[in-house]
Amino acid sequence: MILISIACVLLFAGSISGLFGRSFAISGRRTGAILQAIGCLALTIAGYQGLNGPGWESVPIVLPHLGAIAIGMDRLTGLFIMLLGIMGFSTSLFASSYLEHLEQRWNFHWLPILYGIFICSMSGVFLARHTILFLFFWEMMALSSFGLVILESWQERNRRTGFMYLAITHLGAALLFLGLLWPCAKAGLDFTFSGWLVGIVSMSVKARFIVFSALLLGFAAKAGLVPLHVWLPRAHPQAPAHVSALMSGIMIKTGVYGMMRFFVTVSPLPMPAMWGWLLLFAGLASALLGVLYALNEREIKALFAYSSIENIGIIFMALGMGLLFRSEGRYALANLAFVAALLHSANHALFKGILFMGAGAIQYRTHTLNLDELGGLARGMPILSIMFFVGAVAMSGLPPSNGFMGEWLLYRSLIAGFSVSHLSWKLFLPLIAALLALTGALAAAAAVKSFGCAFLGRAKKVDLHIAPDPDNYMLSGLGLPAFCCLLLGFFPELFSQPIAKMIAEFGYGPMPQPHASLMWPRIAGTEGLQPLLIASLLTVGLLAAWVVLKRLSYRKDKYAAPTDISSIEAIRIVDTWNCGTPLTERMSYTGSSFSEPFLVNFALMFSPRRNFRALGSLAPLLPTRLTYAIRVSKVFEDYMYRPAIAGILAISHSFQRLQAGSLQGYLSLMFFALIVLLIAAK
Amino acid sequence: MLTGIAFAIRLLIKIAALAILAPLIQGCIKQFKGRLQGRHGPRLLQPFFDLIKYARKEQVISRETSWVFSAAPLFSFAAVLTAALMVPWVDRSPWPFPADLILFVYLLAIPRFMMALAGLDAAGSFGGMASSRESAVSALAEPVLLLSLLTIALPGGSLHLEAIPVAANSLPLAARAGGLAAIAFYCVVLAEIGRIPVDNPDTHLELTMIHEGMILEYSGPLLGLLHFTHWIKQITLLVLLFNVFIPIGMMVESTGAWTAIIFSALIAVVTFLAKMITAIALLAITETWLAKLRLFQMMDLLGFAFVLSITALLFVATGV
Amino acid sequence: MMHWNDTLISWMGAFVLLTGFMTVVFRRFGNVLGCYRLQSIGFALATAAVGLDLGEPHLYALAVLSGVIKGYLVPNWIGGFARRLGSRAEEKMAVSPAVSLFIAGGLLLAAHIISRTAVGSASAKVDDLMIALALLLIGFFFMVSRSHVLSHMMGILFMENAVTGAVVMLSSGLPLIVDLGILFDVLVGILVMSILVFRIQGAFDSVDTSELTTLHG
Repeated sequence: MILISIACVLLFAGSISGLFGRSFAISGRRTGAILQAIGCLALTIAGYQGLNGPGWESVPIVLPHLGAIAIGMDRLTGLFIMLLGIMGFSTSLFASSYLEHLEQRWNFHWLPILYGIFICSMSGVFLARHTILFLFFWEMMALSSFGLVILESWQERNRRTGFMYLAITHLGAALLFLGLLWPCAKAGLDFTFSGWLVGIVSMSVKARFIVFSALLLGFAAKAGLVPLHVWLPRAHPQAPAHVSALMSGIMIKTGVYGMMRFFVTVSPLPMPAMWGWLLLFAGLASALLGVLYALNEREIKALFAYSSIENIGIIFMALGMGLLFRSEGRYALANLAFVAALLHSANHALFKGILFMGAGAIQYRTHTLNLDELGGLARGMPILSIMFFVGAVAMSGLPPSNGFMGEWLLYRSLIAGFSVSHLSWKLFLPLIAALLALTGALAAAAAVKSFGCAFLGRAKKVDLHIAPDPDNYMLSGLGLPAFCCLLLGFFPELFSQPIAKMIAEFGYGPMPQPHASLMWPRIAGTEGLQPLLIASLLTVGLLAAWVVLKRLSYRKDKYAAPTDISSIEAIRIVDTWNCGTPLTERMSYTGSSFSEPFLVNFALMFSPRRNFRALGSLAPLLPTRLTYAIRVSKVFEDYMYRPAIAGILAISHSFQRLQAGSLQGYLSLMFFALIVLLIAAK
Repeated sequence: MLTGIAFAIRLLIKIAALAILAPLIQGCIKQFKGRLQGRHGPRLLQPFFDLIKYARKEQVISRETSWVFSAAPLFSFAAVLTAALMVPWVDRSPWPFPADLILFVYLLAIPRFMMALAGLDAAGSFGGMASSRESAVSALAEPVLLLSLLTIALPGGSLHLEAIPVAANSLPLAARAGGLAAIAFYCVVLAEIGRIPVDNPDTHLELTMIHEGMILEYSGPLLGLLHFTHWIKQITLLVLLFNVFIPIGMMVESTGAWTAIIFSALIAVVTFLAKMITAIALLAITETWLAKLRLFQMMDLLGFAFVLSITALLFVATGV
Repeated sequence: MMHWNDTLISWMGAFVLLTGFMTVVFRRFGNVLGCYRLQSIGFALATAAVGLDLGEPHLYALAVLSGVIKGYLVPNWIGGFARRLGSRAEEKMAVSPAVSLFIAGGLLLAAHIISRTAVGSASAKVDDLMIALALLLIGFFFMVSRSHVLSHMMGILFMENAVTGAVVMLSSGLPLIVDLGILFDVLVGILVMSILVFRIQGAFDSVDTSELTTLHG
């Protein structure tokens, strides 16, 4: 409690510089950011205590009508607060230097203010134990992030994106109001979480269905689950990089937190298997669509935003598996699935933080994020490239990174479903596991695209001399999550054990040992994984090969002149082989060319429309210029949102006819309305 | 302590066997393929000579490259070696570390990831083209690899590679599913080790190649390491194909009278060698008999394999 | 442990299903023909195994006859027509092979559901019926997805194979005379169809049904 207060005070103290206008904000940039970083450190410690220790609950205020406005800490809150603390710490450090290139904007002083409010409101969402308080913080979070998204509001496109984000997030919030307040009203206007629980238990099955649907839609809209994802790939790239890292890492996870809080902890309630299947398939659709669109994206941050949709899909698949197991009464396996969901949430927050901040660092140096223009940054920014590499490996879910550990648990829970004797389970769950493997492979391709096209090869339009490694503040901001990614890859039990304990405390059994465990050493006759052993085996193999290669390359070359350096290390530096012609940067593979085979293979999904034109006076025969454009259809936007918007507009236009302008017309309308109402009311 | 020493000895034997057999099998395939195509074919031991020659050469490295270029072969080698150690060869007694199937599939994804990056690193079109193609093909291959192995593993309830053959043996109905899954798995093996009809290992025509395109810029010891890694991957997948889908002759228990142990070990080794000879013949015949598919027909081959493994899954799900 | 001829039947079931999937994926007519050859031989072997199982000698005769006719004579004839028509190397397909594969997988699933409701999920015949039904549907889909006349002929032959196979696997087959009648029908059908194909070729210079969309009085 004290730590939380300290954190809030420090976060606001860091924002103060913004209150006195832009010039003050510019001079207080570093101090403010470091104060905020220390505040986040306090949050981390509070979260760590909550995750591993006993929780607490306190009532700072008691309001008339609303009752005790309680906040509280338990393992679930602790996990998310800790993640928020770690990510907030790194993003604040990162921001202390990164903000420099935003200083020219007239509204720069809003940035630290909104940023402080954003972090505080997110921690409030996790801490609240009162529905009204929860919704208050939820709205605060939405509004502050809206402010951060439309910072560049002078561009028409940015404003549109901002309002789209606002519309969808408010639609979700309205549904949350329904889902949270109705049961409370049923419980005699007791607005605490326990009151909500009493209310939901006393409700009829139909009413409960409505409540849960409203909650699911509300949380899914915040999480960016397909088909409510349309705001995400637009809003995330638009915010400053450190804010995108927080939005992708933590803010969309508030949806996951809400699902855990309101769906999973209500364990006495029977929940039909339908919910599980719904979440599972929505998650699968998100994962597949998200990663396919990510692959096709040209801008790094948009690519990562789509990858966030993919990861949210994976998390929701795990949640769905948990609910499915619960509907079958297999509580131990449900525990496994929920651990997978939460572990993957933590992992995704960490590696997506690295990647978004890395993209921010690239933008800071090169002023572009277009993968078709970047390239070759690894030679100028070796340290940044290594950190980005760790993030890319984790994003692909390769062992021994943390990304693999969460996905492994999900695979295990999908496959454990084979032991349930329904044909649909036996048939669909292994199939979904295979599709998850497809998602994983595509995510790896997207990671290759983002890392390879930005850091490797040749720069297309960027001058590499102006792109050295960023300063130590930014590097340490990336370094902390990169370190955590590796740490969690080697010791995932650091998180998985307390999470499993937490789920067990919610009334589920302990995590099943014979089915899946992350452990060291191996217990005889169990199924499991030993992350540290895998890592050490890989390292031994790596070192052995490295030593042998070093010995081979340091060898006296008898043909070379003694002064030649190559006689010591037998390496010759030459041009890249290009069939004998000189290599130009236009020959290097761009992001678009990298994803072309995927467009062809998944043409059914993308329905790409290519437009290839030869320009010039002697056009088709001897063209002077060639243009090539490709447009890819987005399934949900083209076939769901656009028709819906068009339909609403058409209906509104048809109502326009009523707006004839004559007073008598309006009066007659009112007259008819009155008569109809009188008849209907009787 | 004693089990620890025994484990270390087994590990060393396996590494030694890998070092000898992986290049040898490559030599055998080339030799047999040459014979089938009416040539003499290279010597059986040619891969060893190649390795020695690569080790003595100087390295020629492009000036465009970064640290990824030298790191990629090392990472690939470590991952493939770890995966290779997980696969049971002649005996199915459990390893002290879990040979998890999902881990195996993901370990094999590491070399693809690293080599795709390395292909992009040298800034040439050939490398980029190859790594883009490799990513596209492997994205389609990975689900089939997982699903075909899962189909066999699921009825037994264990996902450990050494336990799968036991489970597959005890279920008569799984045999038919196993047949279909084996064909699916073989299609994926062809894609994974870059053989006709997916990729042509002998060509150096830049526009058609996948695997060779990514390693185009390598030379000297690093190239040797890459080839060696590739051969280890090849033998690992072939052993897995035969030991999982045709699990005959493997040693089960290492307890009992020592004569019995030696006898069963002998049988196991002989059947293992027989399986390897079959595998060599299978690969050589496939490569001689089929032509390379166009790049975008790869989807047909791997989709075929995917549907086959779904069919196998249907048999398993309804039959058990 | 199952009896070996039971095993043979079940393996042949898997094998003919495999050939069914292969037909969908191949673009070249020669490969499709090869699939038909393999499928017919698979069905003949299964017929022989069923005959052994039930001790019905007339099934051996049927197996031998259908193996020779459908596994050897018919493919050779049709191969001869194809050469004389000079058909393209690769055929136009309405949907790509990969998509048709997944449609074929869906048809298999549908066949599974239908056969479960038809004979009950406990019956041992459910897999056999599923395979036959799936092959029937795949044959039909094969006709739908391709436009070449010879492909349409092949689709009919695939469906005929599936129906005969279903009869043999589910009951012990029809009396020999009926089976022989069906075989004879196949031969006559091919004869009539081939004559028509050559007439079409002579009249329109093309046997691609997608180019024969205008009806002439």
